[in-house]
Amino acid sequence: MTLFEIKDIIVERLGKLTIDEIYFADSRGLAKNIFEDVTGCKTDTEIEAYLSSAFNDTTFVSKKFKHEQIAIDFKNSIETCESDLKLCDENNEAINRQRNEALLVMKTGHNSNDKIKLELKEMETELSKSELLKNKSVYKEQVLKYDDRKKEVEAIISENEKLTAESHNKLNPLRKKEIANEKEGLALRKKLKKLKILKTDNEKLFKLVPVNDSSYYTDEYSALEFLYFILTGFEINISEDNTIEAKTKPVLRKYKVANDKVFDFTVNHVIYSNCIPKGWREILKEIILIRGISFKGILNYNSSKGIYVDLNDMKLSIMDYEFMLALQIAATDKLSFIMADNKILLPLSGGVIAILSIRER
Amino acid sequence: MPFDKTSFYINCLTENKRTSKKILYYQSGNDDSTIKIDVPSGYYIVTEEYVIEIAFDAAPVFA
Repeated sequence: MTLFEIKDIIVERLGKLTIDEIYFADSRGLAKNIFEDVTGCKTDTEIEAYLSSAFNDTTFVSKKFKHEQIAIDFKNSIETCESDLKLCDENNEAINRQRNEALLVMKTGHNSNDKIKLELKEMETELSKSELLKNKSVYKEQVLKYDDRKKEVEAIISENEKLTAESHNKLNPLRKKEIANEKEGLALRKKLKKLKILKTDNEKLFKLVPVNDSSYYTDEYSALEFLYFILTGFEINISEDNTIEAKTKPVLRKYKVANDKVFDFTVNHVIYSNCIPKGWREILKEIILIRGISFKGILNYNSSKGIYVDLNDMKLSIMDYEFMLALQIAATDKLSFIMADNKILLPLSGGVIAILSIRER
Repeated sequence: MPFDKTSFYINCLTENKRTSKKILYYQSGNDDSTIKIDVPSGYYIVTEEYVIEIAFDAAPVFA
């Protein structure tokens, strides 16, 4: 059962009360009973353990965050992988071009060498023919011509060979580069394929989470917040790094323990502009009796200007103390009436009544 | 926010009047039969966020 369902049950059985109304109607006990029915957790520690385990297990916000983060990471790594692959392909093309050029040089070198050698051979055959004819002058001329040509041809051949050798030398490292590049490209392709599969898996996983898209997280989180606050008196917060923290707040537990915390409770948790907090007698007694002596004195309130004017010479008079004492005694044991406009009617001795109203400033 | 006890103070309610007279008792038909009592005009106990207003009035007296 999800936390949201538990919350739903509690709210439904309590008659759709809001969190503050549950507080003021003192329905926390009832809420606890319902929670016990549903989960079997009886004591405060059990409840806290249940909630904190749910809290650690779900990590709603971080879960959502993780999915999104992973999706972004995948997108980024796929992009980098693709750009790497593109670079790799470009490198391959460049290497291929260079190789082709080198091969062309080698081929043309070999071809021209072959051609020249053929020419030389033809010349030799002609030479041998003219030797057979015994025509000395022609033969001499041909021999000279042949020698010249041979020299030229040898130079050309050596140059060609040099070029082809250079090209040949170039080919090897190029081939090595090509192999390395191919390997890299293959690895990148594999990686890309894997990343794409993982990405789709992540998306599927994200879609598998129940309830429409992200409302699951917000609902569950609100339920967790609600249950924590109602059952344990803790408030939870999401910190900046997307982790959930539980913060203690002085609420009803402290309220029961010490009277001087009552005012903390009323100050922090009374949300209505005009209401009567439980324990108003304790508040009044404490402020008037214990702290009455340390009051700063009477300040004159000018309502027409809406400002407080400090008149230091106006100290508390005997009458002020009399009335404070009367109020304190009345707060201890006199009957009181709560009027329709949320005012407390408190009779003092001597034919005087005090009308109290407590509100937010 | 925790409540700082030293920060609260009392204000006199009405402008420049420390006390006010409330009619406690009167008898009809007689001019001087009204009895008035002095009560503080009222207090505000004011904190940073909260105000307790205490007003006073005459309680009914039954003869």
